[in-house]
Amino acid sequence: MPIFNSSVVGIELKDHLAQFVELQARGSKTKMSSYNRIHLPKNLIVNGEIKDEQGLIDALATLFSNANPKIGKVKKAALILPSRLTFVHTFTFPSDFSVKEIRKSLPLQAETIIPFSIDDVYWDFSVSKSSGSGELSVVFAAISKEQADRYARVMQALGVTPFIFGIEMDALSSGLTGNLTGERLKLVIDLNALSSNYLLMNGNEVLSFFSSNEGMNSLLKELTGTEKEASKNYFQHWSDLLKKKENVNKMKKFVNRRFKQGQKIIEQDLGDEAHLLSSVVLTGEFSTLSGSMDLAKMFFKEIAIEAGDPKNGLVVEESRFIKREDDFLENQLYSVFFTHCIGVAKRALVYKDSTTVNLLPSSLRSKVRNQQLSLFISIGLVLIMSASLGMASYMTYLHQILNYNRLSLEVQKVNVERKLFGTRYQEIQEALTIFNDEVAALSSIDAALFSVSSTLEEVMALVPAGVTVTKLGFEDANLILDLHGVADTRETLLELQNSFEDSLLIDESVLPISNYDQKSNISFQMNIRLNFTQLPDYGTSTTE
Amino acid sequence: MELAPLNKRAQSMARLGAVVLFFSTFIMGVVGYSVRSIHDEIKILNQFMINAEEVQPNFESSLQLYTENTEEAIAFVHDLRPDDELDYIAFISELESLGQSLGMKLSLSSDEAASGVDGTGSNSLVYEVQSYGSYDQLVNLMSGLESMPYYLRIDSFEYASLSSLDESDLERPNVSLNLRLYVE
Repeated sequence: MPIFNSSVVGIELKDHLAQFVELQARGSKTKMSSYNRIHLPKNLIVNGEIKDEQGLIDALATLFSNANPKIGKVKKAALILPSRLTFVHTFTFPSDFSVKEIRKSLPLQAETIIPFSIDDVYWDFSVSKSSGSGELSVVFAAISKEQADRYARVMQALGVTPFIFGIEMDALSSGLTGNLTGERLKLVIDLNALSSNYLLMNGNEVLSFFSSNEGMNSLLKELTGTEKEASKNYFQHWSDLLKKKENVNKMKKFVNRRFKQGQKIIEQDLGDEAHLLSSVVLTGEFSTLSGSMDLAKMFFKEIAIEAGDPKNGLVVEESRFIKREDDFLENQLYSVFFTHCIGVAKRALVYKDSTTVNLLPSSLRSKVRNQQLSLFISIGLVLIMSASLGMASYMTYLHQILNYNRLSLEVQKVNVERKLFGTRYQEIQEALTIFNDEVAALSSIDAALFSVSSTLEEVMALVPAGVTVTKLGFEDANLILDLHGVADTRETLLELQNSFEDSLLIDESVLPISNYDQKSNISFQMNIRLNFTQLPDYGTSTTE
Repeated sequence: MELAPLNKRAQSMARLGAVVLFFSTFIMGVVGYSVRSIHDEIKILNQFMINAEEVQPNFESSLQLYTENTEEAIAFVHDLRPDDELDYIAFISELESLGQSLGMKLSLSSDEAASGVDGTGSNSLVYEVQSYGSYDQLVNLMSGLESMPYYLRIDSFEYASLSSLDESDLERPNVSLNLRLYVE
């Protein structure tokens, strides 16, 4: 499926000529940018079958190189296959059938109507409409692989990779959209050299398609007794033939037979609604033969006759084209020669796999699909790389910004740390350490000290009246206080001893029992051992 | 129609795409991890700066406080333990002044043998102090010693009431103290 191509070349190959048009999509408009047609030498293509591949390749090279105006390399192309080579049939399916189910059952049904095994043909289908009966109308088409592959080889040899091998039914319905507007029933009669096609349309909806192998070449045979035609100018040959009155009569009879076939199709397919047919559209290269339109008007008396002009709706800048002797660009009906080309090109511009019958050979389909996939992958790669580049740039930018912020903060941090932990801090810390050591040492000393003066006063306060202390001695090492004194009586001495023994300050008091030998004025000596935990703290005394 | 396998060119491009995608993802991952690490570091640094804003004024005021008062306190603590001869002389002078203020004439002599490190682990000097005095003078002397800006330990003292002494005993002072001055 072309996505970005805005131009497509529609190619049609016939026994006697090859032609193409190039269409460009410009928004909602379609412009015809180039075209050409050449007469093919005899026996390159016979009845639609390629007989001389190399000869055809050379002829087609000339076709493209002499384009009017010149075109560049053909990149996107759609080929219309001769109806003589294609088998087209309409099947009906229940409306609840899915596309998958239709695809599965079609080969079995198709083998009953085509003279080949399903494996020997390329086939495709399109679900054209839901009929009034509620059933699905499925258009099936097939072409011999051998014939299709020949066309594929020729195209590839030219460096052209078609992505559509279309059928005339689709080409007609797309090519004549200018005529097929509104919800009106119309019969398209397409008069060609190899076939006559009948397309019954309701607006843009295909109701039926019929192709007859009786093309104008059959009349040629009737007129000349042979299929031999002038290789140089096929249509000039026709003009010469029709100068004879007897040939004109034969031609009229032949054309009337074609119209009769059309009438039959109208009656069969429309039945009671035949009167609703609004017009008959004449197209194809032989619709311009002298008298064809008048014959049609005489045959379809009650029905309007239109010229099926594929140029309707196309933008054609005639000033861009070079006028040639054998062209009839001034004649609007000249465009009917390109109905199939324009039709297949227009369909290619809006190609949808589900609505177009495409008999593209597997090899080309793979190639096209691979090209599409390659394109998708390329686009994906570009997007990924762009995204990666963008992300990498952003991440690098972010990385740089964050890195700068980090460095800036680290510098600030160093400054703060220098301020907090600088020389002055070190001095203070050192001083505080020494201070702490000193305090620890002093605490250790302080813990071992007590107030000797307060202790002495508290001990002396325990001495009762009647006892006089005459000597005192103290040893810190053993916390021993040695008292000498005189007690008036044994009782006062005993009172002194009891007082010391009851005091918490004193752990032990030692008074020799001999001290009680005398009755009065007892001279005594007593050792008391102080209780360190109960002694007053150092420095608690006050100086008077 | 069957979907054909990818041709070599498309396969190569798909492989290239996969490689590009892999490396892109890998590089993004590495750079992203680095960015995240830096971001975390910045968060920590920002928090440090916020804390520093609070700490700095406190630190400044602490320094000011230290400069104003703490140095004096530390100097005072250091002076509690003399560390040179000048300090020792100053101590002796203060001790003599204390005795004079109490009406006691103190006789000092240092005991180098008893000096040195004692049980507290601190170095010390020992002085023997002798004087005449009453019990109250003794108590006031010891109380005055405790009030001095030194750490002093009274290793021992002896006191004899003047009334209990004979005339012969009066030849010797009735108050005797062994003082231990803690030094650095």
